[in-house]
Amino acid sequence: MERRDEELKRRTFLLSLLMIVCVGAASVYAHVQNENNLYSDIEYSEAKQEIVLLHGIKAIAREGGASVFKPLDLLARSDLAYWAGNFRGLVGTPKDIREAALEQGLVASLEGYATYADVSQAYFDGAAPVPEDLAEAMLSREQFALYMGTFFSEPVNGKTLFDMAGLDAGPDGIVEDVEKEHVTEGGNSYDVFRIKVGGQWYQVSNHPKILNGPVDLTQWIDKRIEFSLYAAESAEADGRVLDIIKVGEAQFTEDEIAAEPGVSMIDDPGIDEADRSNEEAPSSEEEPSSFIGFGGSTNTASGNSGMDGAGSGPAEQDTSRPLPIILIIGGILLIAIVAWLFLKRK
Amino acid sequence: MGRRTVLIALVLLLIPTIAYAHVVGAFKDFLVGISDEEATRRLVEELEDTRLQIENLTPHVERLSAEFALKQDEQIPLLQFYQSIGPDVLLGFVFDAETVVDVLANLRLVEMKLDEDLAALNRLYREYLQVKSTRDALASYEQLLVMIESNLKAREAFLEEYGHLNEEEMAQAAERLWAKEAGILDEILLEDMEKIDRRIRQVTVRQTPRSPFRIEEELLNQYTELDYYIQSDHVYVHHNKQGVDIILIGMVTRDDPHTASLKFEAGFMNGVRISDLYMNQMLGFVIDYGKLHPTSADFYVEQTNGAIIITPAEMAGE
Repeated sequence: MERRDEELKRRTFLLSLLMIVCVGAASVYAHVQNENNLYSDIEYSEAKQEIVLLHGIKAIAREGGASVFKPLDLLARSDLAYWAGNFRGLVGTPKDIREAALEQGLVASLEGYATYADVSQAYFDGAAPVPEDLAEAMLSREQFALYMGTFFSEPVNGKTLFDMAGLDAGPDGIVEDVEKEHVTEGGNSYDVFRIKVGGQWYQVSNHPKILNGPVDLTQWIDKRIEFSLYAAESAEADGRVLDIIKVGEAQFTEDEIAAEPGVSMIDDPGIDEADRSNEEAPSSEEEPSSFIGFGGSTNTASGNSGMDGAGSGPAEQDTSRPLPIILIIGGILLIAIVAWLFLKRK
Repeated sequence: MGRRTVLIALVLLLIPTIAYAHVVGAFKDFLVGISDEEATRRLVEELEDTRLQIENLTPHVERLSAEFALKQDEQIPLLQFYQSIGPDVLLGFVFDAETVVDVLANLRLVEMKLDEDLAALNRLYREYLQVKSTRDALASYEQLLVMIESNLKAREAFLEEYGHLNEEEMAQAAERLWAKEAGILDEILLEDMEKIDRRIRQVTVRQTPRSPFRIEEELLNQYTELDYYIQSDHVYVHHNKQGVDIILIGMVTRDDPHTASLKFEAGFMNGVRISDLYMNQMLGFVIDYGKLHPTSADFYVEQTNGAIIITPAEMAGE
């Protein structure tokens, strides 16, 4: 038994050595992250852009486990301690960071749920304005993102959140050209992008956070960049890489970025009968059945919602129909009424 | 020196390396150290925790779903009623009112009430979708954990059989196992590739002619030999046959204006990291966009939880 333990230790040591040998190959994989792949559950959140940006500036951080943000959950003080501690430069394991945040007074406690005042204290030493009458109100993680999002543009003690994160503004304007280089290094393959804006080439970081655009940057040509930020760690001007890029809204449709269930192509009348299968598309039993027919005729073989894009519920989509009819008729009648009243007065 | 070089070369082929920056989340947590004896315990804890979260969320999702369905059922007849009596109501406002202002004020009140009701309904729907997407993401994560659990069990069996050997012999055993399985896996991957190519329109769904195409995990797995788990960050492919458990991890990216393909980045065989040298030789399925939408010039491809989204470039909002 002892021999086996010794053997295991020896093996572990050797493997550790091998791991160290391979460190050089570890940090080079590119993965462009946007609002659809950063977390799996922020597609319908009103704060999805803020969440991506806060993640980009490291004001929030993932801590292993499932890739979920849980926007509607109340913000726990222990999570606030970890996020704010991380943002303010505390290092160590998540437990270390939480304890250090508590020691340094970033949070008053690691128990319970955070309030707006707690958030202001954790990130801004209490200097950030808190919505009126909400100082002691608890907030959801989505509300936290929306609240923090106000400080992207609104300075606290003369600094915006971007300033606090040490990020400098990058270029904006139309993307004239994009280059993708497929690089293999140490057995890992990855894509590196460069974009040309205003006649100048800019290197994009290996893990950029992007908003409103697809993750394949080669498809950005002729699209407009609303704003971009350089990565904080790039101190030298030549080595600067763009880490956060926001493409102007409506450059790409919601559909291009968003996910929505649909009908099987086997229901498409244009498909050859020979290609049809006996198997039917799966259906989601949990979806309220009326979701597919709220005032309308949307038919989904996958049994999912009749939404026509992210964030647009059926109430938005279909219930707009009755109102215009009333208004059109009303408009015509109003003209008649005004005329009638005018004549009546005479 | 020679012996050591051979040893390092062999071990590097199949023993996990730290080159796992792209082996994300759960894989990094549980599969990256072969001698990590705590991995199984941590995995079981994580599974329990995830299942508990799903259990807690499920009643919430069901409650919101039922609440929305109820409110919607109340709202639809109401809207239909407003629509049908609209002209009568309007005429009523007109003839009962003494001034134009009264008519306009009454109309505005009705509009506001309708807006309020619809906004409340919409809020409820969003809340339902939000909670449901969290629950679905956790369920997806649970699937991954179960897949990893199966891989860890295979690792335990592998170590049980070969753990007494020295590193060189163990690496050779893993190498032999891989040599035997790689050919089989290659064939299955090729079969899946052909099936998907042949049935690309059957594995693809589209809500409306203006919606993106979707390749949904559940539908895809009805046709393929291997199990494909599509997540927003990566696609995971699982093969478990006769004591060999293989997980391949990759992403679907666009190759050219007419095709996209699944490209593998990392893999584990019986809990042992497969060398990148081998991974580069494994071929994932190809999506022939030209066949799917012949009249389109280009497309965008992205992964989301449970589906691959393919959007015609012509749908770009300008």
